[in-house]
Amino acid sequence: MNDSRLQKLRSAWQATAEFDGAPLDEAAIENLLRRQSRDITRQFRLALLMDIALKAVIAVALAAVLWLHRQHAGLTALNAVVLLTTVLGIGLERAALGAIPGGAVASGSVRSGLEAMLDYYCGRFKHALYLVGLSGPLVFYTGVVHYLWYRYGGLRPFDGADLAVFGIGLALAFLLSAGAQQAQFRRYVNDVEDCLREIEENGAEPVTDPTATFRARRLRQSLAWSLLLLAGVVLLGWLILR
Amino acid sequence: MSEPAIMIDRADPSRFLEKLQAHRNIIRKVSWVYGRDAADREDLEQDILLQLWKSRASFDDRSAFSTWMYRVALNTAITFRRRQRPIERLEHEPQTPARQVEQAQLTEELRQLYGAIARLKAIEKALILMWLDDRSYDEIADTLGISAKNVSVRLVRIRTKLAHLIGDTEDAR
Repeated sequence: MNDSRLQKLRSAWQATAEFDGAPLDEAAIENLLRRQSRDITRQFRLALLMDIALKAVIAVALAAVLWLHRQHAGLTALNAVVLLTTVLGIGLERAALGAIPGGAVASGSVRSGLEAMLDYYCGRFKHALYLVGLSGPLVFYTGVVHYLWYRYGGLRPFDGADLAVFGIGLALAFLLSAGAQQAQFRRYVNDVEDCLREIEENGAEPVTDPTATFRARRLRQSLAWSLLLLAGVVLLGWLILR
Repeated sequence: MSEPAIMIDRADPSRFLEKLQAHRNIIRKVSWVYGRDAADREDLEQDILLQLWKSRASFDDRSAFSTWMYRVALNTAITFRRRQRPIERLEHEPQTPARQVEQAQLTEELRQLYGAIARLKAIEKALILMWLDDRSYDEIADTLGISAKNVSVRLVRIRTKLAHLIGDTEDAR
């Protein structure tokens, strides 16, 4: 096939009939605003909003736990710390919600839009996803404490086996919850990285990998979290065996 | 492509909607190029419209409205979250109502062209789309965030690739 055939197709493309569908009015836009968009910023927003709502419910349940066990000094201190962590988590997730790239990014260049999305994802959103992952262990903790209270009318001191089961339950809840959240957005991030790489490749400009910084940051974060997890497991083992 | 600059009154959205309607073909073409199937294209078209509406405050009256539309439409299309299912070739898609409407709007040769473009990579699609629409190299470069020289080099390669893809389709018939 030669270039003249392509030029012919180009002319046919340019001669495409004008859009003849229903004209746009504000009612049509109102309908659009109500529908479920697959815009990625909406998915970011939805994930954060749903978790903020869940954490708010957890915070109320924790406040009840705090009240029920107010005579138990050690447990009260622990419950207060967990409640504060939950409230702090809500605050940080709200901040991440406010930092979602907006309309200005959509009307910038494709490259700057992709960079802003990747920057937001690898920075604030990814950190917020670890906080979202904390909801799993928070639900587990609150549920167990409530269950023990209603089943036995109070809490007896935990022994080594209790701590091990409780600790493993918390760790599993976190890993499953955080892992599911990360996996949900992994494919999207790969697509954005591919596009950024494509913008740079095969061009007349020097070839650099624009995703190298993001990948290095991801590696550093994975290492940091792995070390933290290892330290947690060692601490748990020490608590059980001492 | 020269186009008179317009003033958008932020308090009166009707003028904005009129301009949007006048350039609605841009949205349709971007959706056809980036959507995986008829349902995906319909969703993408609505997402682009929505994003244009939400971004209207960022429109700078000094630039052409259609250029601004291209930027928003391409940004939306490239970051659009596609359903996770295999890509259907245009000619093999199931006959849904949305698909029937599309088929009525496309001539055989345009169907062939869209089929070949569907096999390009995301940024290649953006480049060829704007080239087909007779946009200047500077405008394409500005929209994508690369240099005009880069646009020119790439377009030569992409046109060759596209010509081969169309040739393959013709040979297969």
